Amino acid sequence: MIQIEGLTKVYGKKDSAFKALDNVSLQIKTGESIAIIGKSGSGKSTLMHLLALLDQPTSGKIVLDGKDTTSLKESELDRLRGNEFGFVFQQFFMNAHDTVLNNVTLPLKIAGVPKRERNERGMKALEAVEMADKSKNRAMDLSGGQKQRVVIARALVNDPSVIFADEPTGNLDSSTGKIVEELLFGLHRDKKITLILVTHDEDLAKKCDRLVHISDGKVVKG
Amino acid sequence: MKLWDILTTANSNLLRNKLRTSLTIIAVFIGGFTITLTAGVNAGVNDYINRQLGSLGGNNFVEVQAKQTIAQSSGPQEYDPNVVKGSGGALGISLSMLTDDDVAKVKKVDNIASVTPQVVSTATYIEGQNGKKYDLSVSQMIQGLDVDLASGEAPTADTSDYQIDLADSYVAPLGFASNDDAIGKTVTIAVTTPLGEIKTLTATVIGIQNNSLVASRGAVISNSLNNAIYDITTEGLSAKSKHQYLALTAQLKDYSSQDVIDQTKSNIEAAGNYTATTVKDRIGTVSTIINAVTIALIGFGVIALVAAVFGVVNTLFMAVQERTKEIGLMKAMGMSRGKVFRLFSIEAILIGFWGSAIGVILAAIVGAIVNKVAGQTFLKDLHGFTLMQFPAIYIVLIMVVIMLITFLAGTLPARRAAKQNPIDALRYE
Repeated sequence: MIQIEGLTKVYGKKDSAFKALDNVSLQIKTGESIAIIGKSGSGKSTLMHLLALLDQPTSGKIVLDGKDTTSLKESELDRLRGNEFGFVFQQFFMNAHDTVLNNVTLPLKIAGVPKRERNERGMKALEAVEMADKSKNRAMDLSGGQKQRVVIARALVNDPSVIFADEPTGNLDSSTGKIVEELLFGLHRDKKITLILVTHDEDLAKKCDRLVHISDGKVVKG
Repeated sequence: MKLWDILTTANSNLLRNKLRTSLTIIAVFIGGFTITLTAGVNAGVNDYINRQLGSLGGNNFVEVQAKQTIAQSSGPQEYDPNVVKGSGGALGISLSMLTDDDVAKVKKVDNIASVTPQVVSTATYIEGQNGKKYDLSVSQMIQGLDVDLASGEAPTADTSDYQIDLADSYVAPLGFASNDDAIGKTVTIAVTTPLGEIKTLTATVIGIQNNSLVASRGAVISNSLNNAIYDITTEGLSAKSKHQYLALTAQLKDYSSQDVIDQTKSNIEAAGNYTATTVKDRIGTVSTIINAVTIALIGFGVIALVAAVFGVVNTLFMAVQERTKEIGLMKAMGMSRGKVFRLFSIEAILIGFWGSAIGVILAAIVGAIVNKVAGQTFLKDLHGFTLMQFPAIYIVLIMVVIMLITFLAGTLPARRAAKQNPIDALRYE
């Protein structure tokens, strides 16, 4: 369970200060799927970055399974992200020259998992997204939809409890977007992974258990 | 991330931009190559000098001479009956000589193992198997002396046999088929008495010396043979004039440190009116000059390396820039600052490794070619002189230093990478 209380994030100082998030409180239950929805500049990405422990809030706290994350050391945050979170981004972020399998196993490599185990788990994750046959291909040779499936495999490979998806279908046409969508919600259902979706796409957001609307740094509905 | 994974990742990152990486490696290579070649020449020359020093007596020998009183002021020096004068100074100056009394005095000094008077004996000619006669200069074997041998062994200092080590240039003229053929054979040495009569001695060849610059061009002979020659050349002279020495060679018991050697030297000088010098004192200046030249040449290599350092910094800054997103992603996935720093540092070290490894290997190849050419041309007569030598310790040291330098150059970009904020990479552009 993720509990956030009075989360505020201010960018800049004094006169140029800009409140990207203003006193946001929210509870996300384990296994829930939640969509954070809002226009660009609304603060939804900031909220996701804070939730994913990629950034420190100006005030307020995030309690993850009873642990107050604001008091954790940087190395502990690194470990927490590496073990508990999976990330799916709109822009894929893959090493284009490396093989699909190596891209998928990157989180395991960072975590220090031996190569043999890494590859086994990587292949399993690729099977889950039906991309096992492309494991030896170079990432640059894949289509957009294939890339996003590989990215989902990568988000999956460390058996995370939470997957953060930032505009996962933003770069895809509607039919491949559908496939990726089904894949994400399928994982959420079957593996009981908490899914936190950031999007401005109402149709995609509606498929989640809960919608949180953000506007001008405040939760307006949810 | 495991160290091995960091290593392989860093290596494949370097290979991603092959042209840029190889240009940077070339810059490092030029520095490494220059330094290795220079160090190689230095090692070769110094090794040769040291061996030559060995054949003149190493650190364990101190040469003792009487302090020469050459008139400083105008006018003649007053006669001192206690000072024994001999002739033979380079400028025709009569020199103060040492006697057996002095041998006894020096022997009493602390830390002296033995004292051998330098008996300068002159042979008239040497005759081999084929009856041809050649000029010969001889020098006496001093205990502990290190003869630079091509084959055979050095004469025993205290043997009563007449032993001789010939320079290898004498082997063929004297009618021997080879170095090994000469060993064990006898040669005839002729000596002239003060009255002009020629007497001969028979000596056994027990070793062949490498030709060398500083050691005698003739033969090293056992003390017994040396004394026999001396006896003939001074036949009929009074005992007093027979036992006059230009110098004594004192062998030290302990020569482990320069302090001990210096102390012994000043003790000897305090024992009488002597000057004591080591071979190092006399030939050391040559080494000093060579080392100075080496440092100057290495300076050029260092300048090349300094230029290369900027190349490394530049390359890695570009790599950090290019991989901003990747770094952000890896940090989001839980890679720590320290690991990111290590990843880029190791890239820098790898550039240093490849640059220096190629430099060292190429320098060794060039060195081998130069050695071969030099051995057939301008160093032909200096047997045992390898112009360039690459001792493992030099090579390891050069590589480690270069890798350290590139590591230091890499810390700047690596720090920037480590400090990078994951969100910057994840932000939409």
